[in-house]
Amino acid sequence: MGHSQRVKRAKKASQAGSRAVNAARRSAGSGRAGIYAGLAVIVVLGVVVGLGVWASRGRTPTLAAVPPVRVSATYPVDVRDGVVVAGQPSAPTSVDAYEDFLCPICDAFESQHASTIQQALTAGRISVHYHMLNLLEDRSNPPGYSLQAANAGLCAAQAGVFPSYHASLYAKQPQEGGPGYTLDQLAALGHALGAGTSFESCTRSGTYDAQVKAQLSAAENNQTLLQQGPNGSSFGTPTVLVNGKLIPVLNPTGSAQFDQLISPANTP
Amino acid sequence: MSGVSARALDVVGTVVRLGLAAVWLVAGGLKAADPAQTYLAVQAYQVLPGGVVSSVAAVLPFVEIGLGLVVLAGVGTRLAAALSGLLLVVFMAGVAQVWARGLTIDCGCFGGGGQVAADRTAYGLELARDTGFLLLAGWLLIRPGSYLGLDRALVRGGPVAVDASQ
Repeated sequence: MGHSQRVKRAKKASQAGSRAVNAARRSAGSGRAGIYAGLAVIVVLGVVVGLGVWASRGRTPTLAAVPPVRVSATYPVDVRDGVVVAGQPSAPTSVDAYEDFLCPICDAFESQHASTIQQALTAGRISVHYHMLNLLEDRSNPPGYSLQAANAGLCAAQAGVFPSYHASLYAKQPQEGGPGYTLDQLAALGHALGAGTSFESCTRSGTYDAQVKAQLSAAENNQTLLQQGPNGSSFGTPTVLVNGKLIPVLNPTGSAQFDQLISPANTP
Repeated sequence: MSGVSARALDVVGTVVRLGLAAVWLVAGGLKAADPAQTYLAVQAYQVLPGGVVSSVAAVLPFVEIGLGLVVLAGVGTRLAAALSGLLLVVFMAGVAQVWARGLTIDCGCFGGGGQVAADRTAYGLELARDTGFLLLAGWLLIRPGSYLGLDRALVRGGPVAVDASQ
């Protein structure tokens, strides 16, 4: 091999090396720098995820205690087959309300009509069948609030504090996707409203769980309760019937019709 | 690619990188801001068992923010692009299976999410958008070179920067 050839070859090798370094510069995907960069990615990701999750855990604590709302009710309240029946048995108009304590539009219905309903109940114009359901059982985090609240509502009726208990759970409704009130909080609310000692064990042991579930499956299979929605006809909450006839309380016309049906003007 | 200078491609790479970073930061930020909504969004896909939904909903926003920061910094761009692409493919698979099963949800890609009315679904649009993001990730995976990133500074300052021509 001649001298000039050797120089040529060395020059070539040097050019190739320089090209490789340039390529490495461009991508930083090779060599030790690439490994460092890869480690940096993993470390940054780990730190951001760790800190983020830790910080948001602290930011979303469990809910504050349920604010007790006291409703002075003079009408009888009874429990029949997992349904709370409120009002005088002789009342001429009967209302069926299918609700879920986690459902935001049930809250909207309650806040719009609760006082009218209370007046009609007190005046003996209506009886209300409250079907409290676990439709949104998996929509709280952790799941289960719907069922626990519905059961506690039935326990409250048994303990003689239903109107206040029901109103209290809607006063500051837990958010869908967030934590619900805990069993401790549900029990404490009953205590605050003057429920007896059996209320707490009823709430904690899920005395009415099976009946609540049975009510839900009965409602979902009841043709008269299906409403035409954008996804075809289906059962949802709230569903409200007056004398067995479905009233679309979520639209303004139905809402006005509901008020009219339970008003003094409509009572014989 | 002859005829297009490396400098011009680096400019494109820079725009692509900053674009992908913005996508992750906005998507993750909106999710982190509303954890309850994020929980509902993850749950609506109906693929994960109950206990896992909560964990995924808690972690996901920060994985996105983390990816956004890494892509923004331009460090380990090729790996970050690969991870971005992987996550996007998982998201697209999620949307596709929901579409195929006839569920009606919002993807919750940028906040929101959960069940929606049948006439409010936009699976085609969501998949098209994700495909666009996947192209950004793909560009950076194939050609991670760009300006304003730490990768070059690392190479220059690091032990690899022994220039054989000197």
